[in-house]
Amino acid sequence: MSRPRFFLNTRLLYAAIAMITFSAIATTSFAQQATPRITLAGSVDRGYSIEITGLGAEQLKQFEALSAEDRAKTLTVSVGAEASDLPPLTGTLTIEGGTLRFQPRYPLEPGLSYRAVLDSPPLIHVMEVPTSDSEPTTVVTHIYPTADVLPENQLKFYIHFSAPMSRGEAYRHIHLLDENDQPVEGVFLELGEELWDAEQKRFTLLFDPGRVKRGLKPREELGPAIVEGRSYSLVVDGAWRDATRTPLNAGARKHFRVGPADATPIDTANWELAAPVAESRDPLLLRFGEPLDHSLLERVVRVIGPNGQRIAGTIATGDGEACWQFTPEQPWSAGDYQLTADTTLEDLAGNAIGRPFEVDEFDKFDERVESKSVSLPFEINPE
Amino acid sequence: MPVRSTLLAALALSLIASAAPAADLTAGMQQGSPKLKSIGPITFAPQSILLIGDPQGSSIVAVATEDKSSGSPSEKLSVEKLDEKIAALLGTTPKGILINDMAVNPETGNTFFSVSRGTGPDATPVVVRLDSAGKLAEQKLEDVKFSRAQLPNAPTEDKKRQEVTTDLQFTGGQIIVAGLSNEEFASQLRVLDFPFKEAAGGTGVEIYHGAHGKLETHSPVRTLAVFDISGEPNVLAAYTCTPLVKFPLSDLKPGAKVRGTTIAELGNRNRPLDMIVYNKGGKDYLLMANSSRGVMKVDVATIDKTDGITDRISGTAGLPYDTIGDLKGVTQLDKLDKDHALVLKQTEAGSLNLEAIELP
Repeated sequence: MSRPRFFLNTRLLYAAIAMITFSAIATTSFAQQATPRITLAGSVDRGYSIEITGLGAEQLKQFEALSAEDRAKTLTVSVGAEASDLPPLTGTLTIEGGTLRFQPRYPLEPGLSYRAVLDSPPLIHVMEVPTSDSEPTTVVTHIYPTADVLPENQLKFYIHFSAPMSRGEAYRHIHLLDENDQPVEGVFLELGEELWDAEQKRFTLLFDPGRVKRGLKPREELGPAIVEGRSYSLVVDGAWRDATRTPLNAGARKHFRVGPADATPIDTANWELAAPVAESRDPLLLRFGEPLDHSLLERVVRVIGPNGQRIAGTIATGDGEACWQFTPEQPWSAGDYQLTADTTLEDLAGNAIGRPFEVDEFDKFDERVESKSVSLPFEINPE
Repeated sequence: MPVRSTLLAALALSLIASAAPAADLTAGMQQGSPKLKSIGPITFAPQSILLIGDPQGSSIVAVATEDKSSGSPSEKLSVEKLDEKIAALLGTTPKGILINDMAVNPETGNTFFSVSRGTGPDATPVVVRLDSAGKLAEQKLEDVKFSRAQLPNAPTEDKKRQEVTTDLQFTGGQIIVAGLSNEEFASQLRVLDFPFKEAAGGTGVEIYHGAHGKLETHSPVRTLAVFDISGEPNVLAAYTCTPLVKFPLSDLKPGAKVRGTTIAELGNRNRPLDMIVYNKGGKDYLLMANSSRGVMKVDVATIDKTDGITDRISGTAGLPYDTIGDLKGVTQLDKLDKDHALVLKQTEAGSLNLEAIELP
């Protein structure tokens, strides 16, 4: 009873070995004549390329013999899943260890489909670049001016974001609403270029100057953009996309009332300086008597030390940008200082130091302050 | 889609033609990559040199394109969904690009587009060329002959202050640059010599605008064109606040304060987008695309006789003009040849079509 069983088992074993051997041979043989395949290679972090594997030695040899121009014709990659008349992507086609690799000149985009067509052997493959779902995290951090009451000839707003934003859609996401939450149309200057800082984290929104300046037809016909005595809300909707094309985490709203127009130039005689004492790092306080332009306050007002050098420190604004304070990096030394402001400094209505936004007569402007900056001396005394 | 204003080489051509035998404008250029940080308005100087505004780089870059004519007549050129096609060439969809400007090379009839590939601060500046046969290709910006003029820009450590270049115009060896600051309202018009000289920041000119009632503001210019009035080159400029003004080109001197004479008011809720000057039947005309009032054709001869608007006038005031009814949604214009213009039109569905038209 036992022998036949052994015999049977031995035969089974041989059969199994034979099958494994055959299978191994078959696999090797299959690999040598593998079907050409087009695949998407790479990852979100490294970017994607398109690979063609499984080409025979003869096909690879033929490809290597092609001119650069003919190589480019071997594989065409275009946007979209369907055949179209769209021009193909530019990129380079190289051969690495038996694999043809198409490296697009610009990164393939998450969520888009691309259609790759291999000329010879004929092969078509459509692939979709995976998306990485990112949670909306970008928010509006500040809207300047922060004052609750703005002049009727208010010139602009600054909208600050926590992360870089996308360009090209700003005006679709900014709305001015009246006290009944009804939209007020046509009040902003829409510039295709859009006014951003280099990081695209701060957007400058100008009122249409034609609705601000007096004597111009838009204002003559439609009145000022915002009207004294009324209330409005500047609304940023949450659909505005950041630079990763993800919408904002939330929209933002700034409510304000409108006061009289301001046609008075900035007069530094109205400024009040409160100097700290020596050896401290207490802030130097400057009160303007009116709100001024937030961005310019950060750039064009500075402190010059006794030796004529600019003092390093941090600037903060407060009280609706009617107050400016400067905290030095190093404790104050006793001595004579200068507070210097460029005459380009503007208030909320574009009136500069010594020059109103609108000058009453042309001849008068030649008499305006020609200097580039004004200085206010102050003293730091020993404690 | 941003709708940038282009300018027009217009009369620059005739000025070039009458100049002394042209020197090689690429002579002082270096070979390499201009490494643009961003791309804004573009225009052509002679010898197929493309002038590129790089607002983030605060510079104007001149690139020798070595552009050659495709040999196809371009007056029948028509490309539907141009934005989709340019985007596809760059591996994306229209949402992934911004077409900033368009300029026809007057020497070849090929059209060049200033494109940002991407919409974030790290968008790649690209120049795309459309030949007169309708074929799109990327213009090489590496290993090219180029030169650069650095514009003065108030240095800020955090780079918050930026000056957006809203228009570039080449005329008679000079480049006029219109810009708009993202901080102070008052902006300068800048004039640079081309080829660029050493430390070529150019000179700044303050442009003022006189409204009715003798109110003056230091006003930024958005778009401009240069043309002759009684044999003298004049700048026709559109302010951001809608009036169209003129001033002699010779007024643009270092440190000058120039007051434009208002010759037309374009009406409320209307922004000038682009303008070209051309001659038809011995008369000069201005063709201007506007944001809400279509394309206007203005008889330039009347500009010469316009003393300027000083009184309050209701309705559109100043120069008489015709509205070209069948040109709707035009966002950019450029002159193709003496009889034709190229227009970029936004369809109701939102896509951009390019079309050659006969000058009206």
